[in-house]
Amino acid sequence: MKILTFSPTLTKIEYTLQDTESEKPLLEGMVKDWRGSRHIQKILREVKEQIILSGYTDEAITTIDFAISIRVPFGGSIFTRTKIADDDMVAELEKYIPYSPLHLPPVITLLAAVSKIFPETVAVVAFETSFFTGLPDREKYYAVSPDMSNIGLRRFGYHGIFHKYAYLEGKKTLNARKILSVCLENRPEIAAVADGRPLMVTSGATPLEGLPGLTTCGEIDPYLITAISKKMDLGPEEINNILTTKSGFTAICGKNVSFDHIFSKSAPEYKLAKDIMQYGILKNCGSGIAAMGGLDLIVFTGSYSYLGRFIGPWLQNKLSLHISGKIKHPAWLCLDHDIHRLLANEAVETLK
Amino acid sequence: MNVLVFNCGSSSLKYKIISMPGEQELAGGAAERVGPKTSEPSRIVHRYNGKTEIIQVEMRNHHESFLEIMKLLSKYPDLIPDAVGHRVVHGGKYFTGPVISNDAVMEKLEEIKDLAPLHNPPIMELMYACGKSYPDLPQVPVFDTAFHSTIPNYASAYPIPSDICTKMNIRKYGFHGTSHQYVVEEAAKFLGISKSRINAVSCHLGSGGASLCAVSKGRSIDNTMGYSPLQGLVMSTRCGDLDPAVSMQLLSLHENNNEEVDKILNRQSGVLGLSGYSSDIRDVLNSIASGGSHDERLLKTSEVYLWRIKKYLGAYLAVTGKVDAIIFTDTIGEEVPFVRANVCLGMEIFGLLVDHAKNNNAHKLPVDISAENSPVRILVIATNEELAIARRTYETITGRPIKAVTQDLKS
Repeated sequence: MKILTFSPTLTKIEYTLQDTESEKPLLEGMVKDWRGSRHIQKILREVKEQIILSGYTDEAITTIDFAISIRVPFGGSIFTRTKIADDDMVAELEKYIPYSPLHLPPVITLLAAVSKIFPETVAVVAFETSFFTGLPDREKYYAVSPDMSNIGLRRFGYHGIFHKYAYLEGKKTLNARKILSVCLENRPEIAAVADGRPLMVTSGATPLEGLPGLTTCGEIDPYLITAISKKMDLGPEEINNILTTKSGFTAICGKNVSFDHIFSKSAPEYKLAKDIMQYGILKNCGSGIAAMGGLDLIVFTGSYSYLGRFIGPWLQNKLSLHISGKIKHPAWLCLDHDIHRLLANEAVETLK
Repeated sequence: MNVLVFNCGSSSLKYKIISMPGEQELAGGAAERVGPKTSEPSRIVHRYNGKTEIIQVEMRNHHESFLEIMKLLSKYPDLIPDAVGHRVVHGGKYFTGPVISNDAVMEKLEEIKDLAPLHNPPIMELMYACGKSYPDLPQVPVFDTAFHSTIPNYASAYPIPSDICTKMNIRKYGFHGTSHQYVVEEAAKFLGISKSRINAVSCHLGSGGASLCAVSKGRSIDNTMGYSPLQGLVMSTRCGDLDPAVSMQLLSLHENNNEEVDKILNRQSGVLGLSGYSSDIRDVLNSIASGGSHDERLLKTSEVYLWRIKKYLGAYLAVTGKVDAIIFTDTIGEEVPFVRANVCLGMEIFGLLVDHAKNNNAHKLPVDISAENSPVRILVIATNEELAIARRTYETITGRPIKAVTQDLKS
């Protein structure tokens, strides 16, 4: 089966054509500044031309052996699994725009463009939040008045597709039931998953909470927002810009960085950033273990999953677990599938 | 040496006279309803020799309450103070331990008073009053943040631009340090471990504020509170951890009215906000136990409150490594066995096993409530911040460390 995958972010859209019979994508590409209805339609037409140039006819891309899979960052509490896109879905997503005002409008535009350019091809939508719709109440809610919870304020995770993959692979390869899933993306996220159910996740109502990212602040004292507003005379939009684009490891290092820089052995100037990252992971792993009452396996996924080869042994050494009267150290595993491979899997599973 | 210990609230002034180094509490009390007139007159409740005396007297500010307390103490020759110890909430970046107050200290305190705008100014008012009326009486501010000055950079730094951090002195300061340090030292004594070697997680669970502290080799390495006492656990009316985007949304919703947002998050959230019933978690738990378990809102409050403690307990057990003990203290930690049992439930993986009979009968403190085969000790220890302040005051003035004394001074 062939699956055309799309992974849109605020600044770019990546696409691939995956073949379920092959590890490598048949084609792949990326377009920056992709937003806007006409622009995205033009991009999709070009993608379609590339597919046809690779030897697929117009008819071939409408058969049951061809599908489209789109990653959507936010699906609220209503989309509990990957679904086939239709008009009802778009209508529901429009209702959620106030909760994800930056991410959802361009995604809705993308869905409309896909329907227009690929009218006969079945498209599925994989929501990053679906995996977390079943979070326990104790983890889901903040300690604020329910008036705020009633308007949709709750915790989600934002790398659900990777966490689901970590759980399924951990179960399949090592028969692990209690898994700490460490997703190493530009905005990292840790989830504790027991028997397929997430019990803890580091992100919050938005992806800003949790571990710091390359430019995002992560968890901070909530008082800092009003303190900064008062002292620096800044409004919420200006503070939001600082906390989402100028904070995180970029702020710690004083320059743009990647996790490769931070974990490079020959880079002592990144030591504080590396220590903050490792400490944050260790601390949240402790919370995850408490949530599950145990731990079978730590799994690293995401674009930087290979860094698990450095972080895994460090974590293993730091985490001393009391099991059957003995001290044991947890096993770890790095998985290398990228988001497009997982989007293809989502499509196959949904269309079974 | 008689140390007069002050614990200054916004409208109250608690005090104790403690004879040091014997650690004998001679008297104590509180000036209540200090400030503008309220429905009841302001008064001093004074305890001495097993008797309680109530003196009604107008006290418009902390200067006046201080003078009234000194006037009262002067009637008793054995209560004349030789030194004063103050509980100071915030020491900012300048104070990593107690100091003898002087003009330079007061200047530094003036510089950082914005860090704790509700808490530090009344204490400073008291210190100025004391210095003016009793210039020869040494004063020692003991800072709640000082114990946490050992938190490493990787745990105390907030990843936000350095120009803002520098301008606003932003870092994790941590709070309740005086209490955490006290119970950790008491735990070391109880377990027969040197206080410079003990590894522990201290759970200060007050009926108002609450925080956990990770302790390695007797030193604080992390605290759930942060730049302010708002971060961390769910507290009586404080929200604890919250997505920063939610704070920004609130600010937007309230048209940049910082005071309104601070009020919502500090005074209308936490147990009160969740339950809509009471700000005291004991009321919520008692209501559930007495048949209110059908009330979803109360159940949710209890679950969120307990889970946040357990979540941080797991985090701090992980970062501390080989832990000797966890310690429960302050009102909820000392008095509510259900909270202790629930927080430790399912934590065998970290070496925590509770003996439920001991837990339910933990009345005479300190006590070990862990099961015999528990690899980590679980202790309940009464905090005594006033004694801790008296100790630090005595040590600072005499330069002599306090030797181990096991007397329980909780009154």
